[in-house]
Amino acid sequence: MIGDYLRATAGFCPAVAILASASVGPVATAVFVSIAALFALFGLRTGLRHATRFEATETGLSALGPLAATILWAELDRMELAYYSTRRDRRDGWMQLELRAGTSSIRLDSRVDGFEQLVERSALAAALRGIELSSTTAANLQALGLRTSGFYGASAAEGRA
Amino acid sequence: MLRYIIHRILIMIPTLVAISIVIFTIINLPPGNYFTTYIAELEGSGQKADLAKIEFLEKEYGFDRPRWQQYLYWVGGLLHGDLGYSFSYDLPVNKVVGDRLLLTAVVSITTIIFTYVVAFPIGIYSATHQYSISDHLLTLLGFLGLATPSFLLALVLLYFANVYFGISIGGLMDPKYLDQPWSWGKVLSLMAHIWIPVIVIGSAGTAAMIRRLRANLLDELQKQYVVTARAKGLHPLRALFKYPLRMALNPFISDIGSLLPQVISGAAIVSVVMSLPTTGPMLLSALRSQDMYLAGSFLMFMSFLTVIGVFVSDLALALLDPRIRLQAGRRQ
Repeated sequence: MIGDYLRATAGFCPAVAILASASVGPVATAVFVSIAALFALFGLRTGLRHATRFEATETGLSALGPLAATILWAELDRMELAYYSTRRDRRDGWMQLELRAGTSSIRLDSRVDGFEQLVERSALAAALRGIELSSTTAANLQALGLRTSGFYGASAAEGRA
Repeated sequence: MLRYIIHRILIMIPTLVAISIVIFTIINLPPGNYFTTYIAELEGSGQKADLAKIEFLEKEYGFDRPRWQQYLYWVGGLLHGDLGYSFSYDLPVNKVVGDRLLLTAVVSITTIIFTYVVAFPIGIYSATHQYSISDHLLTLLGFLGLATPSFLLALVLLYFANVYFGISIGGLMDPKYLDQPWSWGKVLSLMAHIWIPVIVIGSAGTAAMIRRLRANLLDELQKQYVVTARAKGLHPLRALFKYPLRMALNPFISDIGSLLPQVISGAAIVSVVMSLPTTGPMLLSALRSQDMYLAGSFLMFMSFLTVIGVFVSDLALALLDPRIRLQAGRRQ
């Protein structure tokens, strides 16, 4: 999280400094105000995420803190697993898991402790609920060593039982 | 996604700083500056330069200061939206560029639309009818388009239009509309003239896009999932448009990065040959006369658009296909 706080500061402070230093044209003002707002939003979101704790149980996943939400595995509607990297060779990136159940949603990224176990549990819940995963999510699950077909197999087996 | 955007913006800042240093250094590499070139030109033609005015301008724009101070002065102006002053036009750069920017954007956007509208159906047809007579003919046309330099095509068209039809196809409108406010007649004149530069500038890009789309689509069409989809009786059009075409388009999304600077730069050589009042010839003349602020600020503006374009294409790719790449069974 320290890296994200530094990034927010590195973007926000220079933009505000330029706006405050001298008269700036209307286009430049719009650009720097947008940049300052974007980085301020990012800093705020980092703070909120910093204060949020995740708790996984047999019945669901809860986010505790300012971004409180609960997803029950039995009500899971959607699961997306994305991978982002700013490098051309796509290394050193991070994953983002998004779960949705009705109007509740939880987003968490791979810096959270136990992320892979959470993804595995979510993928199992998605398979049991028969949720169709996007090809991107399936590819990212495979990259984590999780076999999506196995889950569907489990789902079918449970359906027969 | 917000984290990704923040990461990308923070990468853009050092990139732009590095580009600005390179541009400033290259523009200042030739000996002297705009004023020394100007004095030499005047003396060459037997005229006397107003040395007091030149000394005043040199001081005003910091030409007597060390290079690093000149750089900071220039960059400071850019950050505040001031592109500097064009000595050769005797106008602020914003005004010099602004007049030509609209026409350049019209020509470039029309060219981009022309390229996509022509290349996409032909590329798809070529890939789905591989090795047919029509595919061979279109391939031949594609190679011809790739191999013919645009300025040569412009010269050939100018020659034939003049010799056989007795018309001049240079410029973007009839001479009577030059420097006139916009009117319906001026728009019609622009539309009557614009198709030739569009074909000339767009031919190479169209041919290249046809070849790339054909190659990408052929790669996808031979994959097992397409064979399976067809074997299971999926409609051929659905089996083409649902996944293979979408996957074949990913490289074109990466190309958005180069589209934005194209929109404002104009094809310099073609514009010179066809006497188009776009930004290309202006940049060329600014570089030749060492009009530092005009050339530097315009190049910086183009670089900024390139960086923004790459940013937009990266965002589009991250939105459309945020997947990890696997290579030889190892996670990357």
